Amino acid sequence: MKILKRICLLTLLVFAQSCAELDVENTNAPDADRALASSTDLISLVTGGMGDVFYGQTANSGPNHMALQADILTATNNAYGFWHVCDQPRRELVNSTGYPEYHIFDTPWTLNNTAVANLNLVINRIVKDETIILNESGDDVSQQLLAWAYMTRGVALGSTGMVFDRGYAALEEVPATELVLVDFPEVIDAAVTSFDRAIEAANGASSFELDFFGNIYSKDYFIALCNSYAARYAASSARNSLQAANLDWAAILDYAEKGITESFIPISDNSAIAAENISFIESPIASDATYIPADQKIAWLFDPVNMPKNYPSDATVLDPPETDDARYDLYYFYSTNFGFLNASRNRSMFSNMNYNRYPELRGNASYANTPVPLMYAAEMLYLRAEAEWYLGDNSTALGLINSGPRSTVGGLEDELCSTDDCLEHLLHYEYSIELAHSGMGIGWAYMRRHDLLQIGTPLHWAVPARELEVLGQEVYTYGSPIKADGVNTADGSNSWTNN
Amino acid sequence: MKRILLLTTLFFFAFSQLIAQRTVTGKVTDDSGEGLPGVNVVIKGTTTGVTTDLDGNYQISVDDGASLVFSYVGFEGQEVAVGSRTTIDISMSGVTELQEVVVTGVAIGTSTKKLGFSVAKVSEEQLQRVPATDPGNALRGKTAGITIVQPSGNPTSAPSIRLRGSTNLAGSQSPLIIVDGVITDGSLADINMNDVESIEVVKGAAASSLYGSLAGNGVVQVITKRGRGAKEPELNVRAEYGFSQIARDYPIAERHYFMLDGNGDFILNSGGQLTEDVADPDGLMDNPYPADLNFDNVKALITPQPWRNLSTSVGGGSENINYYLSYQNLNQKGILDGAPDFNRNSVKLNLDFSPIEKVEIKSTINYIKSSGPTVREQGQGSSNLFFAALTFPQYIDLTEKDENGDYVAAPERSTWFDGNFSYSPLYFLQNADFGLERDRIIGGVDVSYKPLDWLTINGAITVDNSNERSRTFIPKGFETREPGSLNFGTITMGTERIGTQIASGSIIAQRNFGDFNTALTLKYLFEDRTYTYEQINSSEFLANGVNTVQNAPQTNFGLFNTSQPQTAENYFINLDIDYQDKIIASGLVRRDGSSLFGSDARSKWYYRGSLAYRLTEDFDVPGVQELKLRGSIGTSGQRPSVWSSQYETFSVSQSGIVGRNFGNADLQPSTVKEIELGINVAFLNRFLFEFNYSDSRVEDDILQVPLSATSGFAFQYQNVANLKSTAWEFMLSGDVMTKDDFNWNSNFNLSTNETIISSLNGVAPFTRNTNTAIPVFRVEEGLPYGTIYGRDIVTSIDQLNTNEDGIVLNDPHYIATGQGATIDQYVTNEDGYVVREAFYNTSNENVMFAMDENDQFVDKQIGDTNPDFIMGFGNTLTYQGLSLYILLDYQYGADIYNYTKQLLYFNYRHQDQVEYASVGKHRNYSGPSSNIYYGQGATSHFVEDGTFLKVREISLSYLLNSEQLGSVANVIKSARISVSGRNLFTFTNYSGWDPEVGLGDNPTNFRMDEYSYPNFRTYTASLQLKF
Repeated sequence: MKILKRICLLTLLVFAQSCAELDVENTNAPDADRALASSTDLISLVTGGMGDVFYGQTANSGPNHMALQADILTATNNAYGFWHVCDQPRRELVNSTGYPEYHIFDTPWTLNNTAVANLNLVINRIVKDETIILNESGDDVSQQLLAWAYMTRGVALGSTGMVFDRGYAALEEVPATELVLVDFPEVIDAAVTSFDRAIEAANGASSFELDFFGNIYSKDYFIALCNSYAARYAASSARNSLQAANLDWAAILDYAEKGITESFIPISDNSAIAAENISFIESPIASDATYIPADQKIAWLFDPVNMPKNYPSDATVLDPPETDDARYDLYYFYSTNFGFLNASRNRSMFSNMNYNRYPELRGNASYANTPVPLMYAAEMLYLRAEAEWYLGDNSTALGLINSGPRSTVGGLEDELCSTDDCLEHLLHYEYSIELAHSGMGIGWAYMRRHDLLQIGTPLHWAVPARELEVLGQEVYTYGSPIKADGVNTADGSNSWTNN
Repeated sequence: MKRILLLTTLFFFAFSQLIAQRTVTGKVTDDSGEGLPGVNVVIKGTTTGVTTDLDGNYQISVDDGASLVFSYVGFEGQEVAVGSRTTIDISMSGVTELQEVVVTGVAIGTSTKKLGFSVAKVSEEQLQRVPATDPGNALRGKTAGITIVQPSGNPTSAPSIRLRGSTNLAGSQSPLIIVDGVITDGSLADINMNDVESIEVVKGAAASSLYGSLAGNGVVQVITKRGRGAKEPELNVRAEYGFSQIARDYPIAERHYFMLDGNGDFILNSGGQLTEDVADPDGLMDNPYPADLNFDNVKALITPQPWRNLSTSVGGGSENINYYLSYQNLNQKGILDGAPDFNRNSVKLNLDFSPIEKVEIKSTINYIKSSGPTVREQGQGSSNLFFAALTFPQYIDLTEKDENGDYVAAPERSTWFDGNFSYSPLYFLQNADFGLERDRIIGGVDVSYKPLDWLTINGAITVDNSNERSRTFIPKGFETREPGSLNFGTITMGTERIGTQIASGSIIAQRNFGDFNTALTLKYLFEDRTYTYEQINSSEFLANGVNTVQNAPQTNFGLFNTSQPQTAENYFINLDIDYQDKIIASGLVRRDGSSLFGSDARSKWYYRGSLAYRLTEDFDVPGVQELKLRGSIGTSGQRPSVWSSQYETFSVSQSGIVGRNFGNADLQPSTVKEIELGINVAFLNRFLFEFNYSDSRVEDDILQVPLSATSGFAFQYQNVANLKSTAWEFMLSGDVMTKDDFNWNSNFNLSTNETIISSLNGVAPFTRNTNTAIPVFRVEEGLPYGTIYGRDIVTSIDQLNTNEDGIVLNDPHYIATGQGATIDQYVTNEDGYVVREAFYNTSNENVMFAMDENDQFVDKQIGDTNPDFIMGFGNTLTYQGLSLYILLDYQYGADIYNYTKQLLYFNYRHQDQVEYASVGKHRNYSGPSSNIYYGQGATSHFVEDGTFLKVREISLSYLLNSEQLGSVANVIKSARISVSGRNLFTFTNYSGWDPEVGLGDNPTNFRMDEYSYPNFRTYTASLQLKF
């Protein structure tokens, strides 16, 4: 029994001593303690959010689909769901996590909302916790970082309110756990509030600059930029002409007048921001064809006399449009190579037009040192014109339009007609040609507030299915002629395709 | 490492407690000389006794004049007077021939007759008829309850194995793989089948509880040869040569829809292409290819290739030592000419010895070096060779060569094709370098010390270390039809290291108390695992002909690495007890602790209880030698499959910090609880029958749960899912007929199982993409796991929805134009689909999707990948030295989503579309804008029945005996000559190359055909010599 006792003792010893160390550190990715331990980390969190939000402005998923819906681009190629969103007649959008191209809707939603949550974390640290943020030189940059965060949040909320029918009005004073989906006007109001707070914070900073991924902008430019985005999103709130007529155009005019006078086109540092949308559009199929051609509407805008609104469905190949607008050669090229356009899917969606404004982005996968057109100064000119028009001063509106790139770049003579129809068409022209691909969905937003979209085109997108599933809410969607109610889906009452 | 030192110290401490006692040792063998483990050896008239070890050895202390009683289930007992002897070897004869001993799932080697749960054992005889390339493939059709899918024919790949039902929604379904007691972390693909003596399969959680959170998916243990019993060295040499070839043709279109001139030649458009501009206005895909422009590119790419398996081994032993040494070289090229060979070299040594009395050391080491191709499957474009072979039109000759005899990148007429053509796949095979190399060591040392007759102290250390290097190299100057980034060259190199070290210590006490036999086991395991992966890449090479990463601008370098260490420690205590060998009970409790569990949930308990009653010990049943009823209940589980699941993580990059994983300190392993009931019957002195019923419930399965975008994090891993599985298994084996020199032996098995998702605990149902081309697999409460989800095409008028005016709402023409029709204006076409009668056989003919009661189009269940049942039927017919073996593998009812076909429809390349033309159907009916194609979305049209009957293995062999060997018989003991076939015939209605498909994360649940490397058949001839 002696040996048995010893064995029992040994057994107990083994079991008692065998508390191995089971805590293993994750050295592959940081947790909150390590990620947000210092001022540098909080600055990084803001720049990370900034990267996400502004990448979303120029991503392929989202912005290009909005341009397709606005007949600024055309496609019968179903890669990335291009054809799905621009097919004629328009189709119902498939808002389903099972849809292979679900990223169209999920990308702008997730990028913006996730960024807002992280930005609010930093905003509350500065505003509520009174955390002092020091830069590498030891300077207090709390107000500067706060301004960046507000501005970025404004773009995120503005984009969400502009694109989706509902969203989260996630101001920092609302706890994340209390956020509920609200209708788009509230989300856009929150965006405008964010820009106001950004301006206030910038003005409160002892010294200020915006370091936008290596592109340095002054305080004045930053404030002008905030005003510009406020104007863009305030105007983009309207889904139809009725809602547009009820917007506060005086306020929009005020923001636009304080907006940028030099275009916001930072240079990509090859890490966070890039004009992926334009790179996709201009990507060569061959030497004389692009991945996503410009829509036939562009040819018609340049030459409404000779060009049809839709491409001939027979074997006809159209000649180049005739125009005096120098931007035709500067921004586009004509080609008889139809690339991926497939006649069996509707030849009337063909086009000979190819966007080529940024040849340096054509087939450039690295994006290094390439421009990222986020907002042209001309957009403020056109928003001011539109505001003046809504406020009843058609003459001033026309003057503003004539003073812009139409003459300075296009070399066109001043337009004389200042009727409502003329102004609507002139701005439609400029949003489709001059402002194309410089801001997520602005061409689509302009068209919907003037009822110019084809019947069946969604006027906004439903909250993505994944978010609805997380919330336990029913999944829904918009689009297709039989859903054309003029509120969620275009009824085509003033469609540009109407004769 | 401290654990290992502690265990070693304890072991030597125990060793020092040696007490000299007079002992009797010996070995108990069966009629064939094989050692019998688990034999009870009791001193007559006492309750003192021991049990023989795995090799049949025993050791017992006795007084002078004692007698020993040897008893063993199924064998006639013997009583032997010890006298003055110190060694007593016994040979026992079986009362039946139905006897197996298993070591998997049990604390000590146990006769299957004394098991309270099912452990399947596949014998060497079953395995070596037609030696498979690996143990995974060898298990096919040989026992019930195993689902095996070889999703790719790439010789580098291994089959996926699932035992009974699915046990998780996100992780692997693969069982724990053990090789000679070594818990491994790699695949079975590295194991030399010629080394394998048997394979044991523990299918359910009740049986696998012994392995706790490692074994929610069950256990497969490979037991290799150890040279036991051979008094002289026995040398085996085996050479097998053959070739592999594709078994079936693919139904690609032999017609096209382009216009031809009067000579039958193509008419090109103004751009020199075949596009819609020059499509035949009749819209029919019925035009023949010009005779001189009709190349069979599938046969150009997929050709018969050689197959070789050479192996040799030597084994033997003496009283204190056993050894087995082997070498194998397996080489196969698959079916792609120009792709690298798969080559595997394996060296194995098993060495057992007893350096001193009462101490036995067993060791095993296996070094494997393998290399092979990494062939891109899935996806579109030239880089997927199978996509290219099926999709590129016949007017392109992919075998075209230049004046140097090299394949050209852009053969003539490739510019006619307006599809996704970049380069010829044969040019790619010739110019690109792609493949992987793997080194792996599997080994272990197990030391046993028996200080007392009834007590064993054991310590073991095992390792499984692998190092895999992958590479893809495209040289500078690589040509493409259109200029692109590949022209400048690119290289990607990855290194994956997996290291698993496990130390264990156990104490086993085996005693007999009257009619009760008991065995108590205490065991401790410490696991130390590491996974690292490093990848480097660069592009746009500076110099030609240099394949280094640094041959590129630094700005084009890419780097990635991760390190994932893991520790775990586990204990268990197991008690086996039986009464007169007829009432058998067992109980187990195990505690697992792992660094993979959340910091607030570091440990988990598992348990098992089993009870068996051998009815025939109390009652005589005519013709029945053995009838056992058994039942068991137990739990096992699964650790988080994603190493970082528990951690809160942020993504940090140059551009900033972004929240990723919310983290979960309460994350725990899942629990798989199973109740298993079964019957084992031995009857007519030649048949064995086994029946199992299993009810399994999985709780706390881990899912990556998406979070609201407002959380700042993308997702969190949570214990949220519950699953329920039931399984029924039937196995029957034995000699159907034995007469004179003729014998017919059969092995039949049939099983069915179904896994239902019983709860997601509030997580919304979702349709997932498991690394498949499109998301079609549904995860939803109440649905079978493996449900295919998508749009259901209307096949009956009564499925149509109408509005108040009677207009059919499902009609795509109505949706697009507002021009509708009433329900009486629809008919059913040749496919069984409802279409508008006015559009029948016109360019507008289009199928319709079903709607819900709210007139909304919805995705619904359109298929189920789970087979209704699977069946294996092996037969061996032997007449004298001649032997014929056939193994049939049947699967009934598993659906497959045929995405390959869907994309071929898109490209007008499938034979179906030619058949549509033959009945007058316009190509729009099935083309890219059709509802059938549905823009790559899932539709019921592409769900196919994957039922198949395969002749898996067939072999005709002749064994030359010593008489026939004549004068060489002094050297050669026996010679076997065989001709064999693997996967020779497949009988199926599935339209693809092979119904055994399923690339992606989980081939046994998610069956999608997407341009995978097709499985192939192999013919071989072999010669095996024993010296």
